[in-house]
Amino acid sequence: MSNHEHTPSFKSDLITFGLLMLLTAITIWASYATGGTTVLAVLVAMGIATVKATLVVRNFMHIKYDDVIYRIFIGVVIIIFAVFITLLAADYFYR
Amino acid sequence: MAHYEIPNSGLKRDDEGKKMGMWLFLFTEVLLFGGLFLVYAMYRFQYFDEFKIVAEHMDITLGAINTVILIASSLTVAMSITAMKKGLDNVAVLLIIITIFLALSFMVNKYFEWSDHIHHGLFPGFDTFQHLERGEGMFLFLYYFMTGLHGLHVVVGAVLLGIVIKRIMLGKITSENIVFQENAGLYWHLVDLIWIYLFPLFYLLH
Repeated sequence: MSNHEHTPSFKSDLITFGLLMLLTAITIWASYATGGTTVLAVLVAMGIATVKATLVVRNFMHIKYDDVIYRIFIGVVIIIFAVFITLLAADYFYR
Repeated sequence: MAHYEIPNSGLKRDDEGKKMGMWLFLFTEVLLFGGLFLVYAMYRFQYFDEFKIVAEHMDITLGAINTVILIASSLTVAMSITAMKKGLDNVAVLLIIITIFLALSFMVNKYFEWSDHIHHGLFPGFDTFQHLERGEGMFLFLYYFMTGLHGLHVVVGAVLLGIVIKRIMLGKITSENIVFQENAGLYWHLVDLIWIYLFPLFYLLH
């Protein structure tokens, strides 16, 4: 377990919020700039969403203060999802 | 919190276990929505043009407002936990009340959005909907199902936060015994997380 307890502060909460807002603005702008449904648009939109999700999990859900086991758990869940989507895509395209 | 309590230490609770249990539950939620995201991805490939046609009619402004509302509500929940840890009970309660208010605004926006679609007959069962191309109907079906399931989570989250207020009032949640509030917060952040992906998928990729 972590030896000393970090206390979250209002300041760090507000900074995370500011970053999330900024990323929201960027993703809306990017959806116009990249033309909506191009491969680039999908990659940019999902990439920004993943950065936002990471910020929420790390800073708001306090994973940065938590034991490393939680990071391992989340990593496993991400891998399982990646395997599912890869297998499904393989099945879909080579059927 | 965040320390293992030694057996017979006099503490009759296991905060770490409660938190881990909550995370395991959240993973089942991820699997639930993950499955829906997979369905979305495959149908988006299959009906690429038809998805695009319907997506163009989605109201990005309304979607963006709801995104801002949910992120702001995530902030207020995170700040309420920070406040509680600092012993500022009243501030924490106020912040949770603001969160519940934001949750309600989100649902009101959703109500206007859905009623507008339904008004145009774009709901399964209506004539206009039945005459849509297959892929267009699929987009709308997934849209209703996924944002609807998400909306249900918003309602459940708001109820949980209401219980948190009650427990703070009753002194059952204190700066030293905060795991219930943290778990409710985790649930609320998951609701925000799901929306972070729903927003680009249904509104921005047009």
